[in-house]
Amino acid sequence: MIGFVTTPETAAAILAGIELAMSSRGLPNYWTTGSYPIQSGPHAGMTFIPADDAILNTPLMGRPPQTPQDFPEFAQLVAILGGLDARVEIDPADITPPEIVEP
Amino acid sequence: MKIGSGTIGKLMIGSTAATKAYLGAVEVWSGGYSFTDADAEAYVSAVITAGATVSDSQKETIDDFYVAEKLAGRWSSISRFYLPIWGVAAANAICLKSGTSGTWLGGITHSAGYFTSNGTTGTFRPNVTAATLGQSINSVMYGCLAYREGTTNRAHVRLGDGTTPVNLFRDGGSAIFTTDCGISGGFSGTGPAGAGFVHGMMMVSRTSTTSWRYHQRQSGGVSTFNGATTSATSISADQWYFCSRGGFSDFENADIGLMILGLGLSSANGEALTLSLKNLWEGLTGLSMQ
Repeated sequence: MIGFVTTPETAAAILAGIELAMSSRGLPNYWTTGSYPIQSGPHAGMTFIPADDAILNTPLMGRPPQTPQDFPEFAQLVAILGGLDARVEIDPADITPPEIVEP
Repeated sequence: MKIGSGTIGKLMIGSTAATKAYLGAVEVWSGGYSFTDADAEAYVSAVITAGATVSDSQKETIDDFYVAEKLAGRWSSISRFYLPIWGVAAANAICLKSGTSGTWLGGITHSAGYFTSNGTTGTFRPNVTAATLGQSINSVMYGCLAYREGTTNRAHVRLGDGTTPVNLFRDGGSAIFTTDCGISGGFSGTGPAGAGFVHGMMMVSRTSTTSWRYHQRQSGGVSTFNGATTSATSISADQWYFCSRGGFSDFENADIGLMILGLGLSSANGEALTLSLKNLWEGLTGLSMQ
């Protein structure tokens, strides 16, 4: 999975920024990247924000559809995370809570 | 607009249907589909505003569904209902019943007729709990239409963002559904499982601690499996999710064309609703459910 690794506090701020970008336009919070605590691996303890190219090109709304990259807030939020080149690839297993027991 | 004493319903220019007519600069007529149900019209208006393209034929199909389900008395049992068929996240998030929007998280591909999670982070969250919807241990319904199975043969509906995974339609060996709803004590049943079975219009409906069932409608018809009696006493306080529960590894990547939550239905009404939903989805998308 490709995305940003950051602190839980920064991740919360980013998601709040995404929600504000919608609410400030009178829109419901119909889309977000989400964030996931990293449970294991080299980034354990940090938070993962998924942000591969497919996610960043999600058709959000309008005709033709705008994508997250079409919003002015996008550049600001990505800059907080260190820019697109700061994205890393992590193993999906790293975000799996160890206490979960599958019946 | 009248021609003589008659009111015109459709204005043709050759073989093309006109949508407006003007007398000079004044608009004197606007054609297009005329809704019977106000709620249907409101939903269609909302998805169009969000970026969906909806044909007159699709408008009529949606309108007919609202009318039929209200007439059948099942509409009041539907709490949240989503048609993620429009290819646009905002439109796909709009609930046909409440008018509210759920939230798409992570990697989701919005295709014409369905959406697909990337299998690692993509999920849909209606932003409600069972309590919010008035669901209880004695009255709950949930389901989805999987147009095509994913590669995981795993669950499609989850209740819970805590540590207890609760799954619907999970391929757990011989059981198609286990530990559903986060209900204390859980309940389980049997039915077709494994690759080739985890698709179609799938719905669980529970009307008491001793009466619940799983309906699976595929192209060949519907099968209903009755669950075992359980001592379950409560339903999870967590939120509903479709396709995954966030950070849990048990993601699935089927092509999902419809998602629904609501109150318990009788076996007959459950089977009838699965047929109505199948016909609605196929009529809107032009696709055929497997």
